[in-house]
Amino acid sequence: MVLSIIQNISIIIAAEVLYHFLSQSFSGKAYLIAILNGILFGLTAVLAMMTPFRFETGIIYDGRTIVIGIATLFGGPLTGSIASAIAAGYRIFIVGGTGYLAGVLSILEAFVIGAIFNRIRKHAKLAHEWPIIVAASMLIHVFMLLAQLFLPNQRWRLVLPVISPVVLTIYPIGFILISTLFIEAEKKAQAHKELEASEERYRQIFNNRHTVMLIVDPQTGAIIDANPAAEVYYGYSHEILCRMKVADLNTLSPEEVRQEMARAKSFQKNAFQFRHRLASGEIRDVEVFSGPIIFSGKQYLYSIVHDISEKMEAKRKIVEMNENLEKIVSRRTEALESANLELESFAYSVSHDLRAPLRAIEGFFGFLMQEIAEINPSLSDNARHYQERIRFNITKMNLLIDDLLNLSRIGTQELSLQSVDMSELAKEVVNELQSENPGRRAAIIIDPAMTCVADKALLKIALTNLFSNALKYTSTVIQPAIRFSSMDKDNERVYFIKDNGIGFDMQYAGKLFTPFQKLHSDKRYPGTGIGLSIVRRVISKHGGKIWAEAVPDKGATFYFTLGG
Amino acid sequence: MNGIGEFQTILLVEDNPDDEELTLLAFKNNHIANSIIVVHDGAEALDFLFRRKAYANRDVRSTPRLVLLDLKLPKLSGLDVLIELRNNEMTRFLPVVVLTTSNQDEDIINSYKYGANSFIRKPVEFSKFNEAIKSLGLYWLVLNEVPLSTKTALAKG
Repeated sequence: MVLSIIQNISIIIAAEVLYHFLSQSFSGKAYLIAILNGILFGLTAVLAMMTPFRFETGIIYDGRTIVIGIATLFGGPLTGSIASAIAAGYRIFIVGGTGYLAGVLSILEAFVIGAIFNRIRKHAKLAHEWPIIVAASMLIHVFMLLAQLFLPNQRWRLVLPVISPVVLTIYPIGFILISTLFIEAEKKAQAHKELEASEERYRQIFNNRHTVMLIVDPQTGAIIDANPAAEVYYGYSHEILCRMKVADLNTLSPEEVRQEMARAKSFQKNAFQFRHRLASGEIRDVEVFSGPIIFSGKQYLYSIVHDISEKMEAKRKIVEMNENLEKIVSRRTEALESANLELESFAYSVSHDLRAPLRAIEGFFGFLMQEIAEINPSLSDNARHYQERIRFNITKMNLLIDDLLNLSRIGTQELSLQSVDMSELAKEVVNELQSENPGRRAAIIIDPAMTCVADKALLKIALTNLFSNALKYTSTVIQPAIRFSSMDKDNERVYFIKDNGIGFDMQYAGKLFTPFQKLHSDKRYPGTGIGLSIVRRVISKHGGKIWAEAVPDKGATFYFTLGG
Repeated sequence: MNGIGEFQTILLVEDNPDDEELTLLAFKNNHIANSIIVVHDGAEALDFLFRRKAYANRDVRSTPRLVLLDLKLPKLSGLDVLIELRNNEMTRFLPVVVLTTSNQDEDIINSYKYGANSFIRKPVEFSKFNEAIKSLGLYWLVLNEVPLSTKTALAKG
């Protein structure tokens, strides 16, 4: 019996080889495999039954429980049932005899237990593999012995003592042995499947139609493989591409290409910018991401090619536009500088040439009046008045020239910024103005500690003009009051000089800062009409703003900021 | 006043005839009796001082005690004249007062930089101008002392 079962086990091992051959040949067609394997195992069982241990006619013992159990456990219920049907058919119709019921029941219980453990195995963890196999092998053969109870005439009493030791030892061992082969083969098949799947994934990535990819031999520069996107992009067929070298695409010299590839190979660099030539002759800017890969023991370079022509074109345009802009700016600056220079020389002329005749008039007028006084010491009132008017107008003309000069100078002057205590500067200005006009007694309040960053000399000119105006336009009110203060508005420091003077109609506010525009009569409020223009120029030179609010006969407030 | 003598001359460098006349009038008005020599451009001023060309034969005693120098002059500018004067051993210490219409900072700074002794802006008002000439004469012709070497050097030149 032992010899017979060992022979049977060999048959099953042979079947196992066939089983895997079938599984791989028809991979993907699960049902066909199950059916073919069912037939295979069925025939194996038949083969086993043909070389049995014969207890007596019609009562045979062989490896069919192992075959069916394994077929069902590893092949699944479909394979198992087909194999079972073939085996059972053979047992009933070909072998027949008294033991057929026990024989068929053995087949059936092996199938049922195989199916149960097939199911358990599917849901179990890998670590529980061996307990499942051992349990299945033991259970199948315990039940096989129990099936002998169905032998006629209580033959089991004779049979069991003979077969039990073998069925409970050699049979499970054989079962476990064959299972080992199946498990190993399954593992291999699984690994193979995973490998195929991953290869498929990478092939899909490589074969996409959007990202240009090349595989290059860094030694020769030969293109080993190119994907469909590369064919589309370069306009060469796969065959032609694979006969080309990288240097055929790159506009760099072959030597330069070789050097760059060496850098990519040694991980020194993985992103490159090249110009690639297409089949059409068109040259495109490309960014190439490249790095080494190893297959079949040899190092290659993979290259992902990304067209950046549009990006480069846009960049070139930006650079070009910037250059143009710079040219325009420098041209305008030049024009501005020459205009400034002209203005400066104009200012110089004004100061020198316009003043000279005025001084001559004044000088000769002085000597004339001296001569007249010598001849006739007592001048008539009219003559004195005329003399006064001439003097007054000469002085005014002189002031006008001074103011015009200041105005044009402020425009051309470079700012020299420093931290300025505006409160102190304002006090200084007020003192100077009051000493020039001791008659004017206004109540002047200056907020303490107003500091700013400004050109002190220019700021003084501005403050002088503003305070001079405030004093001038409050000179006719009974209790003149002037306040210099500051506040925060829209995150900006706003300074203001407020007076209770004669104010002005807001309708004319726009004219305030225009040269020679005066809102009040020259007789009561003399001036050149340039002062506020000078102030505005100083303020705007600092990047600040100036504006005014007023109510006629209630007063005016001049606000200014200093930028920055 | 010192009256006329050696090295009591004033050299007025002025191209504007009105200014020339007014300056002379103001000197006269203030009873400054020093003889005043007028030249009308920078080149002429240098010729006079260094006794060149038209002034090659001038009397050394007419060498000035004071130069009144306008800045805006034909040919050589006042500053150029000043530079020449200061570069010459003979005129290195000769008092030069810049008398001009300009009040530009640049002109004032440059004048002092190149060695002017004083910078006076011609006032427009008659009375102030008169006053300025009076003070100027008093200070530079009466109070101010010049090293003897300058006089000798000028005499030799």
